[in-house]
Amino acid sequence: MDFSLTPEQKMFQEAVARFAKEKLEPYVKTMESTDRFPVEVFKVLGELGYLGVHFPPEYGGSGADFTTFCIFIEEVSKVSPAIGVNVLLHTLMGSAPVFLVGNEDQKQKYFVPAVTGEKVAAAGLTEPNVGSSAADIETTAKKVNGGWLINGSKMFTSNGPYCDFITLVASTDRAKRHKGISLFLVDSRTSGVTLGPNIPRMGIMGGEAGSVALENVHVPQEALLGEEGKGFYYLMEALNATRVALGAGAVGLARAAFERALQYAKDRQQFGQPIGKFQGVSFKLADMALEIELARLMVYKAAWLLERQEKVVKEAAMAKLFASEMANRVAHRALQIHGGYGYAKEQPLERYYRDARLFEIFQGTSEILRVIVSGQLGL
Amino acid sequence: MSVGKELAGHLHFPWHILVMGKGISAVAEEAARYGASSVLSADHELLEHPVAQVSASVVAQATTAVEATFIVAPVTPWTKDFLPRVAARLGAGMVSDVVGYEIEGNTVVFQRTMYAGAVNAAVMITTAVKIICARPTAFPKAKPEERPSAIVPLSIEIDPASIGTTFLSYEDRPSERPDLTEAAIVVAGGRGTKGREGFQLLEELADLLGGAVGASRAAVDLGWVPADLQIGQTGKIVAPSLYFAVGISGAIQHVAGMKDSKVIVAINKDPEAPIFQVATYGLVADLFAAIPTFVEAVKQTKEA
Amino acid sequence: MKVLVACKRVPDPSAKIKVKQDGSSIEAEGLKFVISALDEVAIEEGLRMKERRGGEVILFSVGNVQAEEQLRMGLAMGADRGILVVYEGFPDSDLVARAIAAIFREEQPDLVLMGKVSPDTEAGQVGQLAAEYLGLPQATFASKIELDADGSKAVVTREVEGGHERVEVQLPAVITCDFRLNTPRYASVPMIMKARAKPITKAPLDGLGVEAIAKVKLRNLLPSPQRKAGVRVESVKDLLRCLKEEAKVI
Repeated sequence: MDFSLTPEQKMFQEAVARFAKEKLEPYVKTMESTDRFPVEVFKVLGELGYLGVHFPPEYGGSGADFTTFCIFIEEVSKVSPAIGVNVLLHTLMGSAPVFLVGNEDQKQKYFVPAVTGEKVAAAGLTEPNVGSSAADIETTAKKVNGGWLINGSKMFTSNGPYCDFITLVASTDRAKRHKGISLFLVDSRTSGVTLGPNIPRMGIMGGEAGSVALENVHVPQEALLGEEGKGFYYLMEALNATRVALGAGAVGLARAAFERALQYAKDRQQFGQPIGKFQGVSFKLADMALEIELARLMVYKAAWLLERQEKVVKEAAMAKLFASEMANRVAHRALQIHGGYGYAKEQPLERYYRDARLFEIFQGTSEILRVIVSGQLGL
Repeated sequence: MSVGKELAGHLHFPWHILVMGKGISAVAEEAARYGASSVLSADHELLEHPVAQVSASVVAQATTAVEATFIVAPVTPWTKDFLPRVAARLGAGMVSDVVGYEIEGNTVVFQRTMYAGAVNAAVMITTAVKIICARPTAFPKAKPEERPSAIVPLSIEIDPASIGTTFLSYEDRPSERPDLTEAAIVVAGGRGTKGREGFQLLEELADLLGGAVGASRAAVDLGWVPADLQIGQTGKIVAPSLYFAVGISGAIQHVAGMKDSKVIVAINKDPEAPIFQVATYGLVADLFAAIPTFVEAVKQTKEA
Repeated sequence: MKVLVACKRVPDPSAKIKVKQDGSSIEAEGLKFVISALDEVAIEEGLRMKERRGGEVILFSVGNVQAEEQLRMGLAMGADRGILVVYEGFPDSDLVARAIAAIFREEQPDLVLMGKVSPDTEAGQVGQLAAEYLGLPQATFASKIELDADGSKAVVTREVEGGHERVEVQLPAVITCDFRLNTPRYASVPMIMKARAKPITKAPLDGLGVEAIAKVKLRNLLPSPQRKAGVRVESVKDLLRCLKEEAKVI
């Protein structure tokens, strides 16, 4: 078993870390205060090839592997989880399905510009009444003359407020439940589509997500992505990769919090010595270091399995489950180590704490992930 | 000159001053008052805006003429440009940015800084001819003496066609303010000035105190001030009695350019800014309020 | 157009530099290394010239074998190949210049580019030394380089005392670069992936016919005395009082 990154991956990691620090970090302060996503970032990332890391060059991708994409998400999230999350969802939930099941025309119209960053993708899955019970999707797509008529609403759609197209999950046959769900490519400028504004949230500031209203939205036949009735399965596939990458994002966030706490433990003196000398602090840091390592191992093993197209449902769920809960524990401890300064807004600890929270919820709550893992145990 | 004079004294060598340029008789006469064995005067057309190869030729020629083993010069953009060519031509080792030296037996050990001022290096030159470029702020100025030196003209023989470089133009920026590297007071601005508005306030303060205006690299990169105002590792090194760092965060590279100032005043909105680690006096305040208030206060004391 | 560009391995400028107990060198353990920022400017300029006129950008580095990492990063920016002159220890500026001269004689480039100074040793001599050894014209502290149509000359704007100077140099020449010259690009993902396929030749010093003699020898290093923080003042009034009465500088 070779646990090491390839020389290319190491170089890549160094390059992303530097890019994130120099080019993305300056956005953090404004994102915190305005809660707005710097949409130009998509083009900047697209030009450098970061939106197509693991896709083939024929479609503008960089031809690397999924592990490399996870490294990208990890390093970006270390600086800004909000940018990491929204870019991840644009890539893995918004545009990847087009690559995986779309036809050539759809790939050229939507996937290629999503890789260059010219088009921003949103994934329309969650609804006001439907979160974990994904098979109960209420948005409907009715077959009509010349195409489909879509009605419904989506909630917490990342990139929603400014997206160019939505990879939408709709029910084409409610009776068939998950076998009656299909994926559609909906241009956001289509008549009847209303992109709601960002929903203010506790953290991931600037990682805009809003509601999307679909009122008698008429889309052509070509808007159907892949086969009718297979939407749910396409979605589950996309979710596996998304969960692994989110795990990488959680690892990045945790590393940021840990590194600050470690430095603080060395610098801050109380009772005449650095606080890192006290086991109350050093033991916390030891646990943090351990858990980050474990999360990373799980995430990258899941990525490895995914690359080999092996069954990865359990491992993807484990990766996200462990990494997200770990990130919350680490952020909590890091804040605690900083004492009063940890609670103050002038330090980033409280931001890490708020940012970490969402990771236990979206794209598969920790509860659902436990359902998945236990479901794989043959009980 | 003071370095050359002192070094020559320690080593019991004669020392000569080389003056180069066009129409330099007045400067040569001035140089003749500093007690050197002689002043070599290289006065030539080509030396009005000399290109590196020309300056290097003249210095090499002068060195041979007086059989000098040490060449001493101040660090300036001009000397940094051409002196290494003299080194290569004469097979001489060259040490730049010397801030001190010690004589140990018959070796001279030179001190210079590295890593943006974090490290002091003691170096020695192993060749017969040695070139030293000294940092002006690290040494006292030479003082004039009684006995005038003889001025010896140096005849220049350079074939301009053999040089692959032609001077085209020089765009000067005349300033009434003192030279940045020599001013006793420097008022420097950084990213916090937000541009011209901020720098105008700093200029007012500088003029009131008779000082020079400087800038961090960020301010120059953003196009707010010309490049020759940059203070720092890749800019100018200054050591005034009083240095104001206004709206400057205090990156290592900037501090390297001003940490030998006698008194450093930091004015910054951000209490965590690294500049406060090196400031003699630190004021956490908005410069747009603090500077005008300070200017008023100074005006009042002047009137009093 | 063949451009030979420096790609020096230096410690990350934001790192805290410590000196070894015995003063022989800095503590490299745990230090992150990068390409000298001014060399990145030089590489960027070379890449732009290649994009406009075709040709090759060749990187060079004189140092220990780990410098290969930085050459790879330079190749990821878009350079074509790299030359690593392996030398363990501290080469002085003169040694590096003679190595460059040797590489120049083999490669016969149209232009040699490098940063005007490197942030570690800060000597700023290498380009000029190499130019003299090769009998080439030079232009230092370049903030703008304008190649003429047939690539035989360049007009260089230089940052000098009190203003700008413009000179015209015949090519081949050595030009050292200032930060004002350009903003270096970030390596794109496809380029990073391709970087390892590009060749880096390793050449030992004596293989190039360069004698390993130093003209400037390092005796020892010492940490510089660091300035200590002073006091915080509460108001402008306070500040003026301190400056007038305590420090007596106004």
